[in-house]
Amino acid sequence: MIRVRELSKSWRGEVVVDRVSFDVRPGAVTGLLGPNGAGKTTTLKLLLGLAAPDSGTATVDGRNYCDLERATTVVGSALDGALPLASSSPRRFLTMLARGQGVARSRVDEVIEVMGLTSVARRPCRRFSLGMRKRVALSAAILCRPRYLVLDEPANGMDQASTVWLRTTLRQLAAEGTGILLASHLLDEQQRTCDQVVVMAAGRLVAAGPVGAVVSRYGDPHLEVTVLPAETASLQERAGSAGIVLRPGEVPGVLTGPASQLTAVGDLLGSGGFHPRGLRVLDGGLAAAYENLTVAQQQHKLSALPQTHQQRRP
Amino acid sequence: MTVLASPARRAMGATTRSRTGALVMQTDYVLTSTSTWVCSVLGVLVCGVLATLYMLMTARGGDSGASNLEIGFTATSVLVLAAMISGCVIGSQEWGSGQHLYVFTAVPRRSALLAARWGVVAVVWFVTGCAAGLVVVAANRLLGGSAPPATAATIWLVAGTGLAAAQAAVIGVNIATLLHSTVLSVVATVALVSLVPVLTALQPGLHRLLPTTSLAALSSLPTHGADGASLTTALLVTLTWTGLSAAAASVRLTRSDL
Repeated sequence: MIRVRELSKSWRGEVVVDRVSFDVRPGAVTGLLGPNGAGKTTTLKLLLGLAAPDSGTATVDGRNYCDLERATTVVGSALDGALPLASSSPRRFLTMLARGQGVARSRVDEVIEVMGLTSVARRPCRRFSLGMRKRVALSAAILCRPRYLVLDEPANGMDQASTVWLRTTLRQLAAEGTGILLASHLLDEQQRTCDQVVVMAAGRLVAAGPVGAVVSRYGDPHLEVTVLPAETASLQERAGSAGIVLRPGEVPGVLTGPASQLTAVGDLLGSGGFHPRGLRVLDGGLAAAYENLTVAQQQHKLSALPQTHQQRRP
Repeated sequence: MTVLASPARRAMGATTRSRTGALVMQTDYVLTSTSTWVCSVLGVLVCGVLATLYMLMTARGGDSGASNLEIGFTATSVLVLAAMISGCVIGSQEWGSGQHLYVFTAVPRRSALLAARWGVVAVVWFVTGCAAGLVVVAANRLLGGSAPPATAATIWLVAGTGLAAAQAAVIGVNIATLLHSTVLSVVATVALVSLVPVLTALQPGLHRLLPTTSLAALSSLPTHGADGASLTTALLVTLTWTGLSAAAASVRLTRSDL
């Protein structure tokens, strides 16, 4: 079992991981969720020995990663940004890793075939799309048949068919007994793929448990209101003064809030001279739970930043 | 899909080679790197061409064959520069692509990985340096004329050139490990090889202690009729530079977060 206990890490005086604890069980897919800057990748790096924690422990079957014999046969990993040399081909790259780990050359052929890389196995990686590079990264992760997989945004850049393929592959691996820690922003995919989730925000763990339990506890239905982008700020301000909580969404002109405010928001839109383009209640789910759990934390973190720093953010 | 992770196949696939894992990986990595071959071939060719040109020019000037072996600082410096640049690329190209994350998770003991890299790079460039030395000797035999060098001098020229190239490559790896950037490390290397000697030319004492001066001197000392003391000094200076840069690179690599 991968066991993370009270793991903390600061960089340049800023706490990026703050006393995080969770487990990754064999035979289960554990999703690691959180907005940008939540500390997910740092947590994975601490687990893989690529960074040293300030305090706390991260162990694999009771041992630190750096103390593992033939580490990649125990934990296979594909971190976001970890890619083969641009001039290297998948076959050459995997062969180098295989030889270094004492894995038979036939295993390279097996993995290339399973990962759907046969037709491009000898092409330099510089010609690959991001989705194909992710396949190469995943190939490297499973090359040594590890007991655990640590994957950071493995579906980034993949098309829908590849995403489905990835989900099926991960579920298959879990069914064969592999414990998987999967960090991703794709909430829908996380909900379909994971058995349990760990949600981080602003370096802290804000929720952990089986997907169903987290969704039922935090994933309340929520409403989504769409107005002209120019009206977003004034609607938010008017709502605030009326005691209605509305948060700007990722799309300009879209705001979200608790579903219980539906009537109040409708009244506000009608009386305020706005030009509403939509008002709907969305079902609760992992996305709703994620939003409820992380948005307030991130806004708190942003408000703690100096004003000039906030203005520079896109 | 059991091909992915079944425990029975796990046991079949992974054999116990963890101790040599770093060395095997680095051998693969260095020998399949384009920079190794490009720099080696170019280094030997340019070194040979420069030495040949030098010999032709001195022969026209009526110098003796013995002095023809004074390829001196020019030809050897080219080889040293090629070795250092190759070391820089080997030591840093993974950082640009993100491959270092694979390498350091595959071999978590970073000092072992760095030591393996030093070893492989040193062997490759020792062989390359010896090849360059042989090219110079062959050119001398063909063009040099009357006074072929003594056997001991010939052996030293070949071995000394190999030693200089090997140490230069290791220093290049160390510079790249310190800077984590191919561009920065190559710029630093070119500055070290070509700019610093010019700046220190007016201070002979300081000039003699530069790594590049000492590395070039290693392969040309016998032909200058140097005594054992100056040879030892050059060797000590190069070893000191190699050791210091290795220690700095090792500290940087083992103590930094990736």
